[in-house]
Amino acid sequence: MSDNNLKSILILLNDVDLVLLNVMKTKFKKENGWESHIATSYNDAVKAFEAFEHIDGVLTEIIINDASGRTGFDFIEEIQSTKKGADAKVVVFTDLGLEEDKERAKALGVDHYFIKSRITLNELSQELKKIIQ
Amino acid sequence: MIPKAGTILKSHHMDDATYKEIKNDMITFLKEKFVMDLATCVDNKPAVAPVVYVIDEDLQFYFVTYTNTLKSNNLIKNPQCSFVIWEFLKMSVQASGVASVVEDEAKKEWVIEAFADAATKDPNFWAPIFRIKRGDYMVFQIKPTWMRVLDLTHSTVRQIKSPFTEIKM
Repeated sequence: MSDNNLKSILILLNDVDLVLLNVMKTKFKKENGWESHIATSYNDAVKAFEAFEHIDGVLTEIIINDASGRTGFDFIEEIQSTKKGADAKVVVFTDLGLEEDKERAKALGVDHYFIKSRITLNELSQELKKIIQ
Repeated sequence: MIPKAGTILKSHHMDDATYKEIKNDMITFLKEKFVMDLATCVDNKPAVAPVVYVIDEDLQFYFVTYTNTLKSNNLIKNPQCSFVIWEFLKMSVQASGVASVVEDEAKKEWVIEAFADAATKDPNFWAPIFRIKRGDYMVFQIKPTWMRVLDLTHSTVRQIKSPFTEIKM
């Protein structure tokens, strides 16, 4: 990680949406001036989270790529137990819209829960600005 | 005597400098735009679809789509395709070419990053590809075999010279 002093958002989405991740990363850079790091699996996300000295926000899917079946909830739980994780804003950006999923995220202390089919990327970008900056 | 259709246009010889200028204008235009209308054809059934494209320095076109879309299935069966990129009162670029699936991982990575840049040129644009998740992505390259530029900046009823410039491939 060469740019770990930059203000950065770590993004974790499921592995099939590498194209979506790239669009989000580019959009956040162009419109908000943020640096983002892409992770495409649970392990990648944990490695990236540990490698950066400071992370302002984590945007994660619940459905993520992991051989042992861990989810975004497990990832949130894992990072929340660290000081760096507790300091970062944690946002869920997911295909899952069930009330029980939202409740579980809330119980984990997630700052916001966005459902992909109910928000535009412009709206997400604006909302993240309010949450993170 | 009434002239036959088409005879009003005078044939003209274009000098190299003018041709180069038109080609450079076309490349600038193609880099500014990011959506093409792509036509494919299988079993004598044509189909057209808008796609977000990117180009490289060799004037090769690339786009990302899902496996099992109509256009990807069509291009695998018949790689011959045709496309147009245009803007009212500016320019129209018409082309035919041959499509192939990009397998090289470094090239795919470049296309995906360039796609991200293209798809975010207009803050209000949201690529149709993301609206419904349909599985794996695939990347196509189109090598143009024929290409011509139509100057749309003139608005007179007729023109003395042909507004078309064929690009040497």
